[in-house]
Amino acid sequence: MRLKRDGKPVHWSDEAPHRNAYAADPTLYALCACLQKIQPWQQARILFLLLAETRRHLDASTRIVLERITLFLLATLPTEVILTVFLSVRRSRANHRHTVQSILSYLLQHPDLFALIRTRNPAVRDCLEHVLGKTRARQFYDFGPRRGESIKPPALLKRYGGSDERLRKIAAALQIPSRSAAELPVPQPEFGLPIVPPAAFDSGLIQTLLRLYREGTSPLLVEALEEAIALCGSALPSLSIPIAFILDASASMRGHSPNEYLPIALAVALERVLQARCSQLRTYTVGGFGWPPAPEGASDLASALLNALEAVPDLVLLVTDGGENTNAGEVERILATRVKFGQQVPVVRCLVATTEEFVSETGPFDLCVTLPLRQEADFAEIIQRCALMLSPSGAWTRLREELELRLEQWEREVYGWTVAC
Amino acid sequence: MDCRMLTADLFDLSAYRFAAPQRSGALTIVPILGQPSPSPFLSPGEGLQSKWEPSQSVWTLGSESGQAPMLLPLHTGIGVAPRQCVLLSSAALLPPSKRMKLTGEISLFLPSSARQTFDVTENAVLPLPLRGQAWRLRYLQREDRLQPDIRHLEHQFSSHRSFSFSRLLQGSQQAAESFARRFELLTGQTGALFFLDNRPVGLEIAPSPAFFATLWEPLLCGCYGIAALLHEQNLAPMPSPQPYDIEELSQLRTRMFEERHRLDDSLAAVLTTHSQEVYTLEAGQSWHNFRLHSFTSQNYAGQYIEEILPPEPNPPPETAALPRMFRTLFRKNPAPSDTAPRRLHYVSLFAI
Repeated sequence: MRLKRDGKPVHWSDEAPHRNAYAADPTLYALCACLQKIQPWQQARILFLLLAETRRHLDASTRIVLERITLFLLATLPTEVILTVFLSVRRSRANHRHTVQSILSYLLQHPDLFALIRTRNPAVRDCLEHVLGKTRARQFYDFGPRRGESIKPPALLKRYGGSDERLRKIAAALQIPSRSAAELPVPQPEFGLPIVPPAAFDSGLIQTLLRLYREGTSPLLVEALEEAIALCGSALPSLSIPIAFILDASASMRGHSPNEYLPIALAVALERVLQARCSQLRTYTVGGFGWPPAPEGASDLASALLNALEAVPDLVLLVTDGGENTNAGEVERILATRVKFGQQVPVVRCLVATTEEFVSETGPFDLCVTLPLRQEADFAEIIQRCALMLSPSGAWTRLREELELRLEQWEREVYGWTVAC
Repeated sequence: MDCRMLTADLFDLSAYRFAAPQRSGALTIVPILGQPSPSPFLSPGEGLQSKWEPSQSVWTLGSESGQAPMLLPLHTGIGVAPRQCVLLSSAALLPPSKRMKLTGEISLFLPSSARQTFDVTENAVLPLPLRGQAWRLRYLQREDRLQPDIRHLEHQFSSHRSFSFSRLLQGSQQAAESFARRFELLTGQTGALFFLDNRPVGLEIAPSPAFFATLWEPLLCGCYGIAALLHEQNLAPMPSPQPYDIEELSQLRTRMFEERHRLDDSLAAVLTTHSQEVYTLEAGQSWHNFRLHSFTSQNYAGQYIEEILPPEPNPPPETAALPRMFRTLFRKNPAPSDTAPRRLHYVSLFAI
């Protein structure tokens, strides 16, 4: 989201999905701001839509959730980003009541308001002029100490700005042109919450498995592994449907130094955790031998998929490190054939990637969902996605509940001036 | 000089077994397994030493081991000093406790653009599109003889912005690295047949599985992968997957394996038509019973090392473990001029 110099309303690359999601279910869309791995710029886009869209047709409970998310985002996002969002709202000429309230309460109750005015005076003035109207805003600037006591500040400002004395100071500060932005850093509120994954994911499951692979098995390591699996599994939802897990343990899953054995360790860890959380999981290993499966041999994923489909699972989870190797394209053809016969089975493909780039050389894999598997924290998303594919309505409800819980938890931790008021 | 038909009686591959072909994109690989008996050769990773001789202004190579000979594979990179690498324009036998100059009989070339900024990489292999030209110019004593071809290759890859020849030789070319995940090195694999779009483009056999493991990724990513990338670049985008043509879903497995067999048969058919070529044979280095030979035909060139064994009273029966596609193809030497049994140790055959 970037403001151009032409003064036109702001657009961004994935605007359509954002607007569609908001139109479909405003509450769930807003709650997405609490997703585990959401990026700050996506949160900014959510904040923009929450501020710019009208809430006239929404019921009271939805409005409350939207307002809570707005306040939460205002408290956690950097001030620089929030000013950009406010200016974007101004460009789209959205001036609903909740917009005015959010902008005024954020600006006037900002703990470093005077530093903010010193650095970003024109931006703050633009925001105020947008919500108050140009005439009222200019009247307010005149409320500085040089004029007499006879002028009164607008009532709206008194509600958020505090005493007359404080408002007078603000007005005076706004009349001083700001210095260049390079001189002064934009003040950041100190109590913004850095979004970190919960501590439950910091167990050493992958590290233990890596040691097992690199140093060989020992009773102590196996015990530590079981503990780590139990710990990791306890934070994840359980699934009680038949799932076929195809584990690619071919030679290439060994990976390269310095990340040698990391791909196979990730895949085996996911398999063990799912074993613990899913009562009807059946594993089909391709290649590999022993326990934990040592990466070896060719990867004939198509035959394994056929074997797995014979047991009629509700879902197939395919964990691999790239293309199928024996004959590329066979997995897709099998899935396409099943679609033709009306026997489509949901397939989730997890691509183990130890480097940053996402593997896409195997061509279009439209017939299944592809997710990256890079670290332990991805397990939650994979299980979440499986649940969504299996029973969409139930899983959406669960996701919503989970996000609401997280919002509550985070609200307790962020005792910002926006959330508290 | 000797004129024979390529592969039909050149190599005796009857001692090797072939695994199921692996296909991905334009590239198909048939893994070659097995080695009749332990091989004496060390790989360059096992103690190759390089030394600068200031008096003669030349690099010399030697092996740390005092017993076993070392094999320097064709068109591979050898790190002679930190950040300096040379590419061999010929395979070489490095006898134990002997030093070999990096000029003359094994002529070498240094890609001058890569020379200054080069981290030593084990066994980087020249990309297939350059091997033909490198082979033709192998006796030319100029370090920059491949420069026009390298520039041409880089130009062909203009769509891959990050492509550069020196990075490829360092093994850090991301686009080519994906091939390492698309194909699998099998246990006990000593060689591979490479096909590009159903045309045989290479045959690589190393003396032992451990030796081949050191060559596998450079061959896959740097040499044949680059050719496959170039090929795939010119192809139309992959069509959406076609369902199998079957009446009932229960036929799915049968039909899938039928199609696999059909593809395997087409590979074998292609090999038979391509393997009948007239080649010229050139005797090279020899050490004890080991002979290094070079051959060139219209479409292929390469080198191989064979060992001439003492005649056996009772030759072992031919193994019947070959898949049907290869049983007829690489038949045992019918009747070479001398009847001494031979054992193959190394082959590098490539399309030029």
